[in-house]
Amino acid sequence: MTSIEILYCTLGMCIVSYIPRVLPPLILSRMKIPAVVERWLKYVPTSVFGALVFCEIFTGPQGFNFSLTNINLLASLVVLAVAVRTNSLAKSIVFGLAAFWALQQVL
Amino acid sequence: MRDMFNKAVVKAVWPIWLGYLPLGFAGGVLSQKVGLTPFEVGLMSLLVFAGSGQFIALAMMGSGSSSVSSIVVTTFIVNLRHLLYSSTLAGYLMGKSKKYLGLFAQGITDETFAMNLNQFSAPVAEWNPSRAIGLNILAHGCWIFSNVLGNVVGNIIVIDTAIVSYTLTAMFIGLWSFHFTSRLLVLTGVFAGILALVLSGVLDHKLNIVAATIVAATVGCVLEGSGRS
Repeated sequence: MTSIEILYCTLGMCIVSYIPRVLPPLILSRMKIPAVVERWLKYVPTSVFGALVFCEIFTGPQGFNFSLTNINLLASLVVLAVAVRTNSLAKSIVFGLAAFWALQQVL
Repeated sequence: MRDMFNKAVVKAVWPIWLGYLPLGFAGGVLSQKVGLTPFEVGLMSLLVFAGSGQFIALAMMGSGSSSVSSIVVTTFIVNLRHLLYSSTLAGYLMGKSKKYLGLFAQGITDETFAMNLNQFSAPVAEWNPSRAIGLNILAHGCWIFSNVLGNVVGNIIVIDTAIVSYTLTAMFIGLWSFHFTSRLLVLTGVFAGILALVLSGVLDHKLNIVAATIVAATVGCVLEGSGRS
């Protein structure tokens, strides 16, 4: 690609990325959000996290990996256990990274 | 300004930094291979600020057969999920000025959304819009820095990014678990996860995340309604 094409690309990407980011706050922060929408939005975070996390854990470079040698999966169980027990994000991440490292040495 | 960048904000942003450094570095390395200058990747990181979006765009640029319009359309689809994030966060930004919202919006990513939402909904309410935008700016700055760094020194330094990249996954799991306040919320999330995996066969460019979220949130919402009546 020529540098002018890269610039056009960047500007186009900027505009199309900005619109979905900015429109909802501009509209929603100036009106009363209907109760049903508010209730629906309550279930968005857990759904987004579930979708992102499952895809991160079970999808590898060679497609799906549901086996028990999946380091992502095993380390994630450690993260979950620490998070539920301690309610501390820092501890969850540190233990998760340690588990990930240890598993890399073993598997 | 003092409430924008303080200890509480740094305490919230560090996992994002830890994750963005290797991720941005990898993006920078890719951008250099595709032929972007440090300035060009810096500008892209400033104006677009999206991990997956930038990676896919760079791969398309590198393939040589993609047009500008196809790259822009693909980026639009990949980043459509930000619509869900900005809608969810809007409730915490009631009455803020257009200038604030305009600046805040540019900083919305998977990671800043997750962290800001978690801070806003914490039982001890100490988060506010100033800190939220401060977190966005600090995360964004790290993203630009690591992308430019990867572009400049990517061919000199080789780093194993597997472990550090796992930081963001660990962060999402931790933040997700803090939403497990009812059985329905847990089940909705797991359902969304399974749905996203199933849909990944037919929907790419992260559209599976968007579709799974919309379906699962609707199911959760309906089940809550039916449980109540």
